Amino acid sequence: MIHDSILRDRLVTGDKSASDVTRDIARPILNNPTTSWKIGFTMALFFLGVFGVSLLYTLWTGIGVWNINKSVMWGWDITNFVFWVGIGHAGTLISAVLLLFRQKWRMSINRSAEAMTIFAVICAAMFPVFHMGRVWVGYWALPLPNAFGSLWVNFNSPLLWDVFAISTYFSVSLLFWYIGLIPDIATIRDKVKSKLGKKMYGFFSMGWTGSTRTWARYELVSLILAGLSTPLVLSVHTIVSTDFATSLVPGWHTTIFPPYFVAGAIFSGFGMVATLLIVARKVMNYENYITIGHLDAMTRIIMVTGSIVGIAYLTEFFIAWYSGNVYEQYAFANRAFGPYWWAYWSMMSCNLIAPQVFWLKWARTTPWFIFIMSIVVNVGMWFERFVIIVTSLHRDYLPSSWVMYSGSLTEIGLFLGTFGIFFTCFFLFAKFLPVINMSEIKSILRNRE
Amino acid sequence: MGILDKKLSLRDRNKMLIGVWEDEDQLVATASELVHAGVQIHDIYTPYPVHGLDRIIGARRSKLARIAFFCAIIGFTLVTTMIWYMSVHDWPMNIGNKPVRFTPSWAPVMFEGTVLCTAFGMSFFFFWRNRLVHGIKNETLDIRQTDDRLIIAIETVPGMDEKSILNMMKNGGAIEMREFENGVQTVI
Amino acid sequence: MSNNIKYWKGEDELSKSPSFLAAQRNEFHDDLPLDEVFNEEGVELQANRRDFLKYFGFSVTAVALAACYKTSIRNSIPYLVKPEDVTPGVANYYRSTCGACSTSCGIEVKVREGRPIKVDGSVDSPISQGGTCAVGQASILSLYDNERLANPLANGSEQTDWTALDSEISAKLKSIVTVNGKIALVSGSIHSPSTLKAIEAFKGAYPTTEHISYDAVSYAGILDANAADFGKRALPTYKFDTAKVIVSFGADFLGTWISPVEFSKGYTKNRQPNAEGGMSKHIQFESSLSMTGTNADHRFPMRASQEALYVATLYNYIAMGSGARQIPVPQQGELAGNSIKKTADALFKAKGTALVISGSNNTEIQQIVNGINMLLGSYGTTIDMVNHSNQYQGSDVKTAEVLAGLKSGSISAVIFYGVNPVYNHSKDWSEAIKKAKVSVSFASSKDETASFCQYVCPDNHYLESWNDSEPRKGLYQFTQPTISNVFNTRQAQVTLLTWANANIAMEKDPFASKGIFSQKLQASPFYNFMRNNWAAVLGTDDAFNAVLEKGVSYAGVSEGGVSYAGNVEALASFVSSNSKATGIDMVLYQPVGVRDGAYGNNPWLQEMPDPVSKVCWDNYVALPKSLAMKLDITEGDTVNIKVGDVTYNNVPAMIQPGQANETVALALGYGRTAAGKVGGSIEKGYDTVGVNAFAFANNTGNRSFVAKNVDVTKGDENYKLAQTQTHHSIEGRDIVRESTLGAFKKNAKAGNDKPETHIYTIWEKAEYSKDGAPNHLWAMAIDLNSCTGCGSCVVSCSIENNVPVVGRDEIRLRREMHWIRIDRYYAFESAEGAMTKDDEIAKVDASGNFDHWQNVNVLHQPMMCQHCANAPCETVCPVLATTHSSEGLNQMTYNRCIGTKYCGNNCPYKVRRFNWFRYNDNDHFDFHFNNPLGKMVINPNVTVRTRGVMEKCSFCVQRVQEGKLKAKRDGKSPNEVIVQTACQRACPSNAIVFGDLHNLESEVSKLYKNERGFSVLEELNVQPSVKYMTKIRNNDSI
Repeated sequence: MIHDSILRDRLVTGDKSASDVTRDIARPILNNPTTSWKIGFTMALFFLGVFGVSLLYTLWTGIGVWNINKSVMWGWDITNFVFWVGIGHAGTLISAVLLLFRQKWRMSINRSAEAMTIFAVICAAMFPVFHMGRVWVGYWALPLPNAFGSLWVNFNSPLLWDVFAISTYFSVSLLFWYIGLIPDIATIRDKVKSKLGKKMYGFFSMGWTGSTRTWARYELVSLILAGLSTPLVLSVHTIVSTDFATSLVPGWHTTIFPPYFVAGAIFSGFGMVATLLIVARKVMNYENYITIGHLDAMTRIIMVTGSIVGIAYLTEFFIAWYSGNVYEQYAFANRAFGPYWWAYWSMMSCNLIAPQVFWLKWARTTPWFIFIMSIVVNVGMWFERFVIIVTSLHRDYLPSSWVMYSGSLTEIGLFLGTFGIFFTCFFLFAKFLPVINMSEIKSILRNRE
Repeated sequence: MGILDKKLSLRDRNKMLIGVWEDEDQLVATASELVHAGVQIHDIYTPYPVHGLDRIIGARRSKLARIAFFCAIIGFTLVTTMIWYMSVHDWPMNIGNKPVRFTPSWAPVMFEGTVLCTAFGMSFFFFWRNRLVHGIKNETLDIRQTDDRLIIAIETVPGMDEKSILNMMKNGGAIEMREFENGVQTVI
Repeated sequence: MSNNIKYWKGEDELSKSPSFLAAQRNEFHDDLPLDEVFNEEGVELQANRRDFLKYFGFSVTAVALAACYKTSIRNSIPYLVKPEDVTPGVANYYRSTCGACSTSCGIEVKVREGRPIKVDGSVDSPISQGGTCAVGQASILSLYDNERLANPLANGSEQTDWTALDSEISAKLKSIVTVNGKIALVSGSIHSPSTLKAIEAFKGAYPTTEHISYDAVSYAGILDANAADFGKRALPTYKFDTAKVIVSFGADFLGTWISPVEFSKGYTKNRQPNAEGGMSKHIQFESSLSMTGTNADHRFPMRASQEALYVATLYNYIAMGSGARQIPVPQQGELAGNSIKKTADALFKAKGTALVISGSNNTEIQQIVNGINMLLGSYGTTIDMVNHSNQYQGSDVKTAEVLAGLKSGSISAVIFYGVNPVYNHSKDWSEAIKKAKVSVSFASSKDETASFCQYVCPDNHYLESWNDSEPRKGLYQFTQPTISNVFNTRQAQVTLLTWANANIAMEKDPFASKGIFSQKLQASPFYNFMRNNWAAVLGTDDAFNAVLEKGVSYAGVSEGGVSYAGNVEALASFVSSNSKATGIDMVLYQPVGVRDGAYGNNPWLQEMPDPVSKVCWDNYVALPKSLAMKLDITEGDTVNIKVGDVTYNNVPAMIQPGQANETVALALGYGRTAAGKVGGSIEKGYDTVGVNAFAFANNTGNRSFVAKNVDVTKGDENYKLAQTQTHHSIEGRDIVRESTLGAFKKNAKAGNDKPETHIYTIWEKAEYSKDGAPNHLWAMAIDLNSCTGCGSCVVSCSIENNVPVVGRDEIRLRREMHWIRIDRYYAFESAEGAMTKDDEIAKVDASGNFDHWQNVNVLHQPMMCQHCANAPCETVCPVLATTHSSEGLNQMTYNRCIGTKYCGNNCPYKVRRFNWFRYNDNDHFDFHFNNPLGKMVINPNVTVRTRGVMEKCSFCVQRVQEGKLKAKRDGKSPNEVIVQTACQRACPSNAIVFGDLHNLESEVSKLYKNERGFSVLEELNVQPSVKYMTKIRNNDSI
């Protein structure tokens, strides 16, 4: 006979029964949207509009409406791309890696984290696509037979690796997320009243019955997918980092990038998860599912990855000095003390210094504080990408081509706009799908050893 | 045998005895009792995975892992061939004086392609095997089996002592018992 | 009662036979004969209603779709009768003479299908010697300027009928002559024998006519000095190729002074270092950093207002040496740190091969310079007064007289021929012209002067004209038309002759038989007039045509020697009165781009970065650092300048290294108010570009372009200048290598003897680049000793490769499109030695002493795509839009480019350019790409790039291909393939050499073996295909 653990605190508080779980988590789906949801959604839609306008303007006139120039040919666009892709990493990481490590606490956050991943990747994809001078022929980056003789693609190019990495990552994450959703969709299917609802949820639950046989295979599939996603998630940001690492721009051309980018991705990803969940648990009263324990665990990860990133920054400096390469040395000196010093130091303070506060128990367990910190983390990570891209390009080899760069209104509009995309998707998700994985939560109500 | 798991369908089956539980432990206990008593349990429906049940009802171990590996091999071969065909065989070019033949720069695409094929190939087989099809008519025995009810379904065979089975269930803490025959459920 | 009698149709109905009853139910008793119809031969119809609907739907959609597509209509009109010498796709080259300025370089015009598309120097012309300046290059675009006058104007209204206009004007002129009223014909310097003859003919008909030459930037100082000293009012021919020591007082002889192309060619002949030294020494005294100054071995700051004293002091030192009498001037203590003494010694050592020149327009100063050259025995060696130059003859005094005459009304008619005094002489002309009874301008566009004239009789562009010229005594060059008149214009000479109704009857056109020229050109009366003039010299057609084909005939004359009758001592008073330096001086100089502003409406020249400051699209007040600090002025600030009663407020300011303390400089040629949409036009509502500095020139006597006691204050506005280079120090990087002649003599690898960079690569060398590979291997070598930074290559490249003009705002955003740029780096000389790092300089600045800002060393480095063998741009392109050719070219495939811009980021030389917008047919870029006429200059061999693609230098791949094909057609061996890139072709100093490395005899392969050869950033192992020759300065000691 199996007993409840008396050693570990419960992962779900409030002594919930399986039916309570269903009721709590399905509530927003079954009931009408709340006013707070409506307000949030409208705001999201507004920013979506901002995105649309900025994008149309760019497409109509040409990317000259951005301020990028002959030396800094990537600016806000690729900064935002890396920023969003980074955020997109926490989801898969939480559900895959933590699943492999049998971290049960992941169960109440992985659903929303995965959703976040998918939406973030959508936002990220906008930039590599629309930063192209001729986006209408962008599909040439795919290995398709074409009208120009058998002219294929360049497998040496990191950008092509990106094409494969991002698309694979997106589709696999989507699959993983959907498979995880099936049992819950089935639950909703059996709860929902409306005819349309029954049809839709029926359609997507694919006749799920919860048969023991299915469950057995289901868990195996999840396990294997997790096993696949883990190297995948690592590879994706590694490849993104090679966009810079394989070039010869001083400040880009460095082998530390892959681990450093991955750490940064986890860092920012968890930052974003924290931001979202702290809001969600308040607004949707999920305190019992997303407990202080969860926040604590996440902040620990934030602190660790933040420190890893910080060490990477310092290592870069050391190597630059140690290499004896004047261009490298200048590039890094210029980052810290050049005209973009403000970007560099805000990056340092947000990513390396600020997270150290999480050594304090209070900091790790105070939601409002964590919320603020999570924002700080993401600001810092945006600056990191800005520093890497812009400060390296604006002063590279030949001083004759040194320039300054600052984003134009359109570029800023596009960036804000992607938040519109992100939150629109997220609000819809919160309305129509269970934000927390019900079936998994039910299985841990007993807090078994 | 086809890939589809026939057992998952309730269509044209004999009369079935159905027990509904609220408590996971009682259900597990009863299930094993029944199996010991030589009763063939058709299936058990739970709103969440209950570990061990599949072994109790004697489901065979899944081959998905092997299938996944198989998909991986296919994917790897496909992608590698594609790259080779495109950049070596069909139209080799001088790109920054990099060698045309197999180079480390092929690795990322190879890897991504492999992962893609594996994930989707395996999931496809999973869906197929488990009769998970879009828009399929769902055959839940109890509206709450996806909420908080756990259900044992036993397919009767001629000469089966239904009385004793029902008793076992009752004693096992079933909160409700039903008969299920060609689509109609009757509470006992 | 009802009628119940029953009628029946027939027996069947009566008997009610079943077949009848069945048939009765049908609408038609018998089946319709459809089947017979549809089962005829070839016709089948198994279509039921559904099929019909399908067909119907399809056809409707198809029609709808077809209707959606709008086909653009393109007319291509074939030759009905193909001219003998015009082959579509093959260019013809005609020798002619550049009419951009009166320097008259011999040129070669490239003509494609009847439209001239490129102007390059003619190797046979002693003036151009195959080179061109930026202005000459760009002058072709003003042929296609759609703002030229399409018709003559009378009182502002367009006339289409020349004859009516002629009779009207000549009648008025005649009436003036009858009352003995004066007619003034104000022209630029004219040295065309035929034109002068035409003017004589005009004078014959209108005896009261006086012909005055006026040059906007005049050399009257030299002319008058020579008149005084030699009794011959002419510019000498300066032979820089024979000069071993050159001393220039503010003369920008490589950029703008008299005949820059000729001088550059000569100058660079002696700039090649070799074991024996062999390098000339160039010493420059100047107050603002001129392009020539940047090339000097020794450069000393000089207050412009004190030039007289400097020159006199130099004279005295040399006189001391040669025992001549000195000018009694009060010694002012040592000027410029004893440099003048050293200079004198250097000159004296090089007696006979020395040359001293001054850019001043002051007669006395030029007389002293003449004296110096006399003492140095330069006449006959480095200065030729016999075969003197005719290029400039203008007289400022006479011009002033005309102005006065017009004001007083003593001159009742004025004709302006190729001059624009309202803009570049004095505003007073506008009022004066109004006083004239008849005022005519031959300007081809309604410029400042023309807009005040009653009549504008637009002159042809020189590419539409017949003409001849004598830029140097005994040197004759022909100008021949390369296109029939674009507009209803008429050559000024013809106009004059018509008014003089001189006999210019049609004569037999020697070309008519050959059927070369169009009817219009056959009818060109001036051809016949000119032909007659030459009848004596070149009697037969063949003799004439031979010269015409060569474009030049030169017979140096020996007679007409001159004797020096100068008296320098007499100038003592002048010197002493001009030796005091007070207040702030302002130097007004011609920029290398728009020069005197005549070509202000030429976008290529406006966008050509100034060789020194790299500023486009504006002139600015160049300030010395010391003054800038005093006035608390930094980059982006403006200044107010006031000279006498002329004030300009908020003129952009620029801190110019090398600017002498207490002097500022302002470029002429800007501030056009009636140039057009590019140069600015008040009438048409286009902003003027910069300010008109001619307003500051002092017009009394010989115009002085040095203003004294200038009042400079900080302006209250900010203004961002459009600069193509904003970081000026080289940061101590090993990008440009330099050394001194002394070091070079000891070690030929001096400055270039950096330890061999050890390059380890895992990739093996590509087949094509291995020695002895059967293909070409194109490469370029650039001699930093020859390159003067003049920027002619930049314009030439833009023309050849259809590089768009993007305008001021885009350049502010750092988006210039030039495929070749000239990087210019400053290094300051200071007690601590040369300072190349910004922080070093800042440190010294902090000490509050800014004298080091006066002593600047300048490096010019032409930079274009280096066509790296291991090209970093190629590996990163996802779509293979840029790949490597089997001849070592880094190719750019515009059609394949999707515009990720990664290649641009990964290019260590930053030479890739991106099409941020569509630059053609786009009102935001209203330059020549935006109108049909301007587009006629487009080179049909080069794609006009669309929006969103990357572009860059292609090593003129179209010329490479042309050269290969030509050699193949002529059955030549690969080693005989001759290819000249556009930049190389234009270069007035032979700095650029392009060729095949696999041809061991080629010049480029020889240069690749040169000890001075280095490639930029070779430690990156990108293996560039461009080698630079280490810069050697002859500055060990004066």
